[in-house]
Amino acid sequence: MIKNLMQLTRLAFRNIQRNRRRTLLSGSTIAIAAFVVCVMFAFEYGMIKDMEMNIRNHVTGDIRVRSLLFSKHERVQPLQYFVNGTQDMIQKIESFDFVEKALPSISSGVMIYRNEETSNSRVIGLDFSRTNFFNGKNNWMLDGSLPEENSQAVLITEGFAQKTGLTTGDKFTFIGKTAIGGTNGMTAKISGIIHIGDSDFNGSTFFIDWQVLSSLLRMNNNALEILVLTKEGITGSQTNELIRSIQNLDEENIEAIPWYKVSLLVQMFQFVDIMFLFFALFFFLLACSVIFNTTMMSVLERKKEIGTLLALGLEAKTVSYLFLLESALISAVSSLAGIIAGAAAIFIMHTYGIDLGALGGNSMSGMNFSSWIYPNLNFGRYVLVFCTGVFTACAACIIPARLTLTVQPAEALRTEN
Amino acid sequence: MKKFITLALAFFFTCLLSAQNISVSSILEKYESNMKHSTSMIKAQISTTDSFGTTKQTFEIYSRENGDTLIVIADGPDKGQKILRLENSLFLYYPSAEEVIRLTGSALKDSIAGTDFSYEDLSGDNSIANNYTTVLQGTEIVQERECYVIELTAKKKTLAYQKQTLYIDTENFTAVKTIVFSASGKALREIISSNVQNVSGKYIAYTTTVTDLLKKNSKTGMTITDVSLNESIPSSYFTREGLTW
Repeated sequence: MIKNLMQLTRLAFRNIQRNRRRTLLSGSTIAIAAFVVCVMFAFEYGMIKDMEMNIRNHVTGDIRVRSLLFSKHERVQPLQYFVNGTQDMIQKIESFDFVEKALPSISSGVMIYRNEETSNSRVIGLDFSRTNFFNGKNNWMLDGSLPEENSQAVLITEGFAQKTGLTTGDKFTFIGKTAIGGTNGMTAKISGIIHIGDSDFNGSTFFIDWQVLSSLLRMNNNALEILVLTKEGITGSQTNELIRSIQNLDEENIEAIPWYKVSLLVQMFQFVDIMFLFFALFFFLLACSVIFNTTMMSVLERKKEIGTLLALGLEAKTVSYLFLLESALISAVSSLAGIIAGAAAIFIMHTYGIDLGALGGNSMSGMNFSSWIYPNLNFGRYVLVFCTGVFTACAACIIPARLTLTVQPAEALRTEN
Repeated sequence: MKKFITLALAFFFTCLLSAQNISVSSILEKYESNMKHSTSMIKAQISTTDSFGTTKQTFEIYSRENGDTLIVIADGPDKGQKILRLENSLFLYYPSAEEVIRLTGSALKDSIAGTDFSYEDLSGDNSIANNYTTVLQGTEIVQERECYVIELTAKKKTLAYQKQTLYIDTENFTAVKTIVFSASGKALREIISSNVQNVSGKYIAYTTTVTDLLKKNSKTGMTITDVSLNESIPSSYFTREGLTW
């Protein structure tokens, strides 16, 4: 049987080369479809990965710890509901297995005061020596350096610098509401300017040492949230166990939630991933319509050849398999070619990135997307695209291939090619 | 005869009405006069209670006749902060800030150091006659004191409190109770004063409690620990530059 299959394959391969134009036409549609689908998936994958990284580095960590009361009244940003005993809590969390680090975080709206005018802004308090906030290809220092620990220096974003006209070394005064209901203000010196890829943070935001901010906002050296970063390779059950352990530290007052349950966008993109699969299928079906046509034409034009093969003793279903095999070979080679071309394009885009901001992508705010995307695709998806290309092409050729079963040898031999 | 009686009654009621109008003016005149001094220096302990606990701060308040006022937070979490009212401007000084902040717009509605007083309470023209139409509603016993009840209705929509009800002690002409309302008639705050003492011929309420009627469990208590009236205060206290010293 294998010998027959190999003979059939050799025959199919020879037949493919006989009409190169038709082969090229069929193959190119599959190749283009495979290329487009690969690039499409790479964009989707790259954006989702970017969003995940931004959410985990900038918003929640892998597990977010905060006061229950803060979550309940989050809408009004109640600073008085901080995580009591933040430093102690961080030490305890970091003693657990699978915890890489636990980072304090404070985020609050403030007013910038300049020339007797005020403008709204946001300040984020971080532990600069340990934070992952500025990790990643999408973030880079434009000027200056990070503020020193416990100093009244701030790091401003590119957007903040553009909006205010301030630069490294300049000073500005900001005022915020405190945890005890009053206000407090401070004049800070700009230590540096940073470009943050996450469009949610590259606007009117600046960063300061969390302990300085906590003192300014009368939070008794506590933070509003603790962002827990877990070690690589942690499983789902281990994460749940860790969450339970953190919760048990102060069950009545704090909540610990994994990042994927904090952000609604994550759930939305699980749905979007399924949508993209359907889009991919749609592209291939479009390509397959071409294969269907060309194979149908091939069957009708090669009736005499089919009749000859049947007259020579080849079974009808073997002739049918021959046509299927021809389609499978064309689609396999074409899919592979499309995937290789797609992989090359993805490699280039991944290396240099795509500036969505320049393409009008600045409307992405509120979704933790970066203006620069680095498309990427894992091996599994390449295999999926390849298999889908081959499968849909073969499926499209079933009907034309089955037409050969209806050919009568005697009648076919009388036909002109 | 009938005509004579009608005229007499009309004359009597006219006099009665006139007497009431004069009475409201003279009540308010005595009330405002009691609050007028060439200078005042007050040291007070302010305790703010809300659902999260109690915060205590010590304020030093310097004022002069034209309304210029300097408030210094001498002790407490916000120690070192200063608030200066000059004419119709409000300035803030924060120890960690290198410049003096001029308060305008919606920032005036912010609370002073977490208390139930707002910066708006310090701003604007405090004269009742200029800002409100007044009606005497009679008398009432409040805190065991007989008080004139006076309804104030704002003449301008720009005023922070569109309506107020003053309960003014009939003897010493201090406000025993004040309720302030929004334009829609919703009660916003209630201020109760007690422990009135005579200081240099003026009556000062040494204890004042402000209750925010819009919030649960929100109360500010002010207890005066020291008062000096009509003493010399350096003019530098009432300058913008003086805030940073």
